[in-house]
Amino acid sequence: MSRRRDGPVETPLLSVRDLRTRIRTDGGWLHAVDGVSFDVDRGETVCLVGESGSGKSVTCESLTGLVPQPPAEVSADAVEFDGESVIDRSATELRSIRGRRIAHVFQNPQSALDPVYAVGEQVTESIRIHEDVSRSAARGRAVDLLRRVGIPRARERLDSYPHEFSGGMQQRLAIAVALAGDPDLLIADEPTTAVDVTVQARLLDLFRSIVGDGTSILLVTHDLRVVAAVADRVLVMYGGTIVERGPVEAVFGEPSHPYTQALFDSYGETDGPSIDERTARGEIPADGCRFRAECPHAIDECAGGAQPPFHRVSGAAAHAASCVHYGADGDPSPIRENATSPMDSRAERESEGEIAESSSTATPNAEGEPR
Amino acid sequence: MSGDPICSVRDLKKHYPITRGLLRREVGRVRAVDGVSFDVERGEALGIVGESGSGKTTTAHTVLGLEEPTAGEVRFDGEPVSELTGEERDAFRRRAQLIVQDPNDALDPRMTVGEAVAEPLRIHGLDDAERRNAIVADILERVGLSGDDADRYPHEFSGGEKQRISIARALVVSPDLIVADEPTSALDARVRSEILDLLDRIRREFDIAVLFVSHDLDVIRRSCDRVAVMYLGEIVERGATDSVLADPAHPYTRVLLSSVPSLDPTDRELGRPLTDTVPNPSDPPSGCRFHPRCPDVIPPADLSVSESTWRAIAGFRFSVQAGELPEAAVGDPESETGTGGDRAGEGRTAATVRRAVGLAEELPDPDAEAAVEDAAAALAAGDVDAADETLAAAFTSVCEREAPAAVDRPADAGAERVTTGTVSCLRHGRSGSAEAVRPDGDAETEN
Repeated sequence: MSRRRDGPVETPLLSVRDLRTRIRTDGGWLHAVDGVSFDVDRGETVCLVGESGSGKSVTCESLTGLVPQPPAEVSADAVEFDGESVIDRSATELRSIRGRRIAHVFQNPQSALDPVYAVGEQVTESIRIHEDVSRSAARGRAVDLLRRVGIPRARERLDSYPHEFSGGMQQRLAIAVALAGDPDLLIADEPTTAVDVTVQARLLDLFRSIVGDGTSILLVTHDLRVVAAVADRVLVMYGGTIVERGPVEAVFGEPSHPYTQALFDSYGETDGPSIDERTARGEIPADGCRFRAECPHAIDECAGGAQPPFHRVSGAAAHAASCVHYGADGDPSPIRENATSPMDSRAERESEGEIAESSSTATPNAEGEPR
Repeated sequence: MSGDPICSVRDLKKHYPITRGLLRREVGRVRAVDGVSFDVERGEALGIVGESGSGKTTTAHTVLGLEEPTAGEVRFDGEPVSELTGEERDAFRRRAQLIVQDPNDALDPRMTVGEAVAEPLRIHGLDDAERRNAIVADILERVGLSGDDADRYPHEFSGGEKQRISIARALVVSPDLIVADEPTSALDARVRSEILDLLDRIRREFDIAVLFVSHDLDVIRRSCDRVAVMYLGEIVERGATDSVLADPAHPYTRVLLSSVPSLDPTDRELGRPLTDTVPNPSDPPSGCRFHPRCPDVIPPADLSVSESTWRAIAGFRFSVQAGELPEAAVGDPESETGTGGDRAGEGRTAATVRRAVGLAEELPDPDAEAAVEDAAAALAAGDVDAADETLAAAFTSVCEREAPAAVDRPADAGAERVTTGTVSCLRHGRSGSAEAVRPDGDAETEN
């Protein structure tokens, strides 16, 4: 599924190890990102999915120094981009990487577009920041970029102002500005959250074509449907930690962490728990499994120390969950019984999965999610 | 449903004038809502679904009397809302409540939760503070909070809890109708499903009708008995939620449904309309308002080409009209001058244009072939207007001449229901006389 650019296949484009971001607040330190590790390969789309406050946006912003320090403190064992460490770079060095090799797109395109400049100027400006080209050459490149992001009549529209474009077109413009430096990695933070579904569909098509051109995408979203539409791999975040990770088909086929399962359940057409059964949303614990306060499967071992180690949970090698029940001494079968997957073809995958041998109870197949 | 509807809307229109100059001369009208009729039965959940600009929020606001309709009528419990005065008006304001998308808009940060929830009671004349507090504590518990929360301030609560507080505020005056305008759009998935469960539960428990206004088909699917699909100020399809979403009859409903990504990552196909541009509601397309974007727009009767060729022709025509053509298909007047032809706009001929729009092969219909060739040549020369005119003259669809009336949706195969609502699309036939279709055609059939 991932299309690779030239270059050594062994080193991932982005490699993050034990990223921690804490933010000083009136009430003490807030551990917004608490030990996150992941890779993004070349030409790959990785989705960070989670709820507001899970740390997914802060994770991305920490990578490129967009989190203001202070009040925040960012540390990591390693953050390597294209084989080079970026965590200990100066602000100036970071700035040259950010924008050119790593570009950001945000939920609100207005934040990336200046209302008083014509869009052509804004795109050529960002081209000329990253590259020493003449004004007219940059203008030609700008037309190409606007075409690439699907703006009709690109040449005519160079002199239009952002407000003359619809919301979806503004997001395309913001993507064009982000692509101006021909980045290797595009970080997109909830890029389709503010737009209509028909517009979202076209933006998702656009992201696929950007990946098809060799750019990697790290996409932050709370929407599982967006994940299903574009991700190669998924990282599920909760309480500043990754709780489940794996190829998208594996995670959607067998959501394994109790939190991932809860997330999937909220998309289902259940009768819904009555008000009394509603899970208490208290404080998120700062150690052990962060989900344990809400988890129906929580046991004493879930508390204390670092987050539970990742255990492989399905036939897919890279599919793992940070949950004690999947460990050597654990019994994940009650969790598996809970799983509902939107995918129809689970049975085939399960017959290949090694875990099936320990728990002979195959998870009942969920009903197919209607489109 | 038995009994009279709690709320009945007939041919509702809400136009906003576009004015210009010192004298505020009216130069146009945004037809935000343009002839909408529906009933909300007691205790039912009706959904209005549509994209931004469809008029769904304006409809909701007009139902509540927050906007004065330009034409048409809203009746609440049989009485026309616009004629209510004095105590009747107060009673209506109590009985019809609104929940908005962002609870922060509904809650005063300086008021405790208890004060906020008690405020509507006070306004509607309950002066006994002790009784107010008792009612507030009871309501807070019913929405999943605790009586002790009454002394806290909104900022101490999460987004989902704040939405519970605004539901409590609506619920405290025992309304008969709650209009919920995108009640969960600002919330995470798990919180969304809790809030929808809560609304569902109070609707059943207190027999309150809920009018959901949402762009989110998951919300509609989960919470609504019936659904009305709006596009550019009109209802294009309506019926029981299950059947409309499982078996959409209007091409717009189909586009909407197929644009929502599946939760199955192996099924990644996303639907698309013929053209992407949403027309300006101040100048809506003639006939069926969806026709310039409709993948199923009806071909001219005298055109003899295959269905897929017609789709390519229609796509060509309406893309030209909307200015959406790929750059490869449009000539570049700037680069025509002077240069010897091998620069950016090089070698654009009628043939390259036709290739770019998927009409490279000669059409079997000679008239159609001539028109497509003319338009392609005009485009190659950079004359978009001439191409537009040529195509519009040669390929006129009945969909742009005739506004479709609402006709019965095709019955579901094997369904027990006699009818499952209406659809306004000429593909499903035109009703002979306007009387044949009742304004609110989604109840039972006549005969």
